[in-house]
Amino acid sequence: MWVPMTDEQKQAFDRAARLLERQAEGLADSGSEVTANAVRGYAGTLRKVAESADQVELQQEEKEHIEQASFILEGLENGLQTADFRDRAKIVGNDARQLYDLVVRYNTLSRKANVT
Amino acid sequence: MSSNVILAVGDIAGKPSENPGAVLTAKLASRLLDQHPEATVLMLGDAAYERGEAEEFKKFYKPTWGIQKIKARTWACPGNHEYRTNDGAPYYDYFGERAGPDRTGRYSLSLGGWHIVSLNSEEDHDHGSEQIDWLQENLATRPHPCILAFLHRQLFGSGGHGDDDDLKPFWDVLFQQRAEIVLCGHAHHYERFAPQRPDQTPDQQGIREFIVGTGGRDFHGQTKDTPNSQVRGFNSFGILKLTLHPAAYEWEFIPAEGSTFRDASTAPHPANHQ
Repeated sequence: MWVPMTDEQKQAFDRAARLLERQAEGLADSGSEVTANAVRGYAGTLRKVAESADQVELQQEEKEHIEQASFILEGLENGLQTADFRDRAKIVGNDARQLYDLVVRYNTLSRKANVT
Repeated sequence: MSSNVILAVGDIAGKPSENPGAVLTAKLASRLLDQHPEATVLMLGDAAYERGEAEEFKKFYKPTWGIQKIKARTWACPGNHEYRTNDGAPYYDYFGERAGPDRTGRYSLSLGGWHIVSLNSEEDHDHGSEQIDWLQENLATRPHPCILAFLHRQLFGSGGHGDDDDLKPFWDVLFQQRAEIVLCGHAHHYERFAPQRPDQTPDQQGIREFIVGTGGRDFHGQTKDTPNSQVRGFNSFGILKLTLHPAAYEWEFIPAEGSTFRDASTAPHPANHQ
């Protein structure tokens, strides 16, 4: 499924990919290899989207990666908010929303493609 | 008299080790339907974990919330886990017409003199999207003035998933049309808000949001204090019972066996609908 992307969205995916790539490293270093591998996979999908042109071809599994990544960002947003890093929390939260926006768009386009 | 009773909950069934509450809430739903046989059940999304597969509906949802007595009274809206399998196809297959007529997840009903509208938070809902245009038209031609909307995701929340501004276009239209109530799940807790506008300004003629993600999955803890939040319960499975009247509505969060948390009260309709 080809999904259109804006520059703003690609920037959000780039920031999110960086966060998850480092998070995967940290998880691996602290002994959570299974989780680290999963997060690394999500980061890889985000990186693919960030480096795409004005549209990206996504598979169902990649859409789920993006959804899962948005949930991880929501957790980071909450943590930053609790620690009073409000400005950064807002940026991370907005990025989470941008990720999810792509999921919703994928769902819509996919349904329409299957109907026609 | 019970045709104006709604039983609402989302985030329900799955592998028992990860969804310990589904059996308990299904027993509670069954008991409440004994008391109110004509009640309507609103399923607020994420019926069958982890991926909304046909097999998960068969193994986990059907023996709990899918027993005929409950399923025959249920209307559903889709959640994000439903959309993890083939655009929600097993979900639409399972609920059939009880998920709406055209597999878009958006449809409306008349109940107890209220207009009940199901929305699909898992598909496009930007201003100018097909779904928002549909909602505007649907509400503009509704047969009853009072509106209750149900969808999976929350605009405001103090638990897991926090606030989700992405949902604001739904709220903009609902507020413009003076909707009273929005029901949602997604976050795994119970929360009741004071009536408010989409920009979070308290307003007695605004929308009251209930989060009822307490169907059995698990619990997300509190993550923040959200303005206008009035009551929160983070560790009780249970069901929200709403009783709709022409000039008021009552609510009661009824806990499943093993929990004691409750929340109950009555609210008048905003004056603009009388």
